[in-house]
Amino acid sequence: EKPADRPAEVKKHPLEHSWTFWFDNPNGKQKQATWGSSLRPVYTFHTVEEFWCLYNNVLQPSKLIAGADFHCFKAGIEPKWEDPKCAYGGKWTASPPRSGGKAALDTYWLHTLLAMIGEQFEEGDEICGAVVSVRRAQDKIAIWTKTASNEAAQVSIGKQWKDVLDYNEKLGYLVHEDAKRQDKGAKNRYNV
Amino acid sequence: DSGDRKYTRDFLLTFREPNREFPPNFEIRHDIAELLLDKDRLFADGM
Repeated sequence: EKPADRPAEVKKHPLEHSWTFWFDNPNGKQKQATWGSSLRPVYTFHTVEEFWCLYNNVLQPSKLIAGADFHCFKAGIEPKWEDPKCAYGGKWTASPPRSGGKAALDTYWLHTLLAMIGEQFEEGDEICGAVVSVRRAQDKIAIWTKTASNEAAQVSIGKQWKDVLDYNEKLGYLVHEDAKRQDKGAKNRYNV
Repeated sequence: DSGDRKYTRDFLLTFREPNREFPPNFEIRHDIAELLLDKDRLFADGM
């Protein structure tokens, strides 16, 4: 079912894709040792209006407790390496400047979401979703993409994301497969 | 298949203020109410 086919929503603004918000509760992670066992879908939205209704009622990333992960992925794609759409992919990661305080994190997250759901990326089909990771040491936002081997598509997304965020630092693209094999020793495959 | 429904950031932001109620069919579960939902908003809606 495409968003435009929902009759009750003809006056709303359908999105090109439906998207699902997921929340990974850090308290749940401690209780359940298995990674990802506390990852739960929160809401799936199909229109611009539904997006804002959800966004306006959840905490900004700066207000989430340390350890939390909040994801927004295309409906049908789970924010896990194991998902078939993610398995051969990777991610671009941005870290908000510490000097900007927590406000920068919130702005980066919102601008990333709006660029994704508004289909502002030329290689939008490559995008799986985005995740904000709230951490004491360093907050992070990542965009996950499908085909790590397609360098042109990934570099295009990385460059456009820098423009969206008005980001001056270097962005790195880490391939999920490298991260799995080499853990923290994994190096970025691409940089922009 | 992408490309038909492109919306700029400025256009999307115009919908921010009018859409403050909880979304349709939204389930307020215990596990997310504590840590994810804006409690000021919960009380504002009398929920």
